[in-house]
Amino acid sequence: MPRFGWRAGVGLMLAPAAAGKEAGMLQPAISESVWNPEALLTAAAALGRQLRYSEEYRSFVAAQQEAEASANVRAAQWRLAQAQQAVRQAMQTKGDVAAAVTRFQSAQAEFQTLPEIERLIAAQLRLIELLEYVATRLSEASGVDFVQACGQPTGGCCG
Amino acid sequence: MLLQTKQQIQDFATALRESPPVQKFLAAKEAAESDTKSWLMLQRYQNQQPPTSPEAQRLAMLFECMQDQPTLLDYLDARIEVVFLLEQINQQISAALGINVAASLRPASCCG
Repeated sequence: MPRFGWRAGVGLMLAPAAAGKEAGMLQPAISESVWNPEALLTAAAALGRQLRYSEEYRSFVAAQQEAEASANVRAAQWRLAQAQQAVRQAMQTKGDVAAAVTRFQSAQAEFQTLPEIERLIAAQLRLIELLEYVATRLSEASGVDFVQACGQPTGGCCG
Repeated sequence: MLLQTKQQIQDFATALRESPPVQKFLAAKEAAESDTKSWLMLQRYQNQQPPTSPEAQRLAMLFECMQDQPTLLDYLDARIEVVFLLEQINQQISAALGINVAASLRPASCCG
């Protein structure tokens, strides 16, 4: 699935839509999970599947599909890419970089204020809030910061 | 967020808290914290920035001292187990959800 890059640091990628038959599987898995690591991991997978039925996740998927299908979004993406290319070219040829950057910022603002993109960003923020809630509860329960514990280096960008 | 979703997350968090690795870690943490001298030593060690060469020797000495503190070693061993468990949990939730939960919540990149 395509990855939209308008909000640095989020980097969500989606898998195919959830299958309805898996709803309601969480409770049995959790009741078996006490004192059993394998069952706990099974319950974790069940929780992941359950989260796909959350309003936050479904709204995000719907907003992403809407954005992907929008001709306005595609056109704005194309203009943004052109403006970015113009900045690169201006830097390479020692042209008018300031003017190219201004045009890029304008294209970026136009992109971000498209109604489809505004809805998508709002949906993405609500989904992030849900994931933050998960991380906070697991950190509290375990006594270890969940994000930090699972934080693999991403390769960095600063040399 | 729907109450049902919150409850599902909370139920899983409760199951995690009751799991043996977490129980062992919480007990080890309490024991290590009550050993004030060792705990301060660990905090001092963990708060170190990556050592520059003049500091490296001092940091190595501090690490050596920590090796003789059983409460700290128990704490660190238990913590490693919990971190491993959390990594597996993140993998399971993320694979099922289609989003890497921990990676999605990491701070944005470093280049400002």
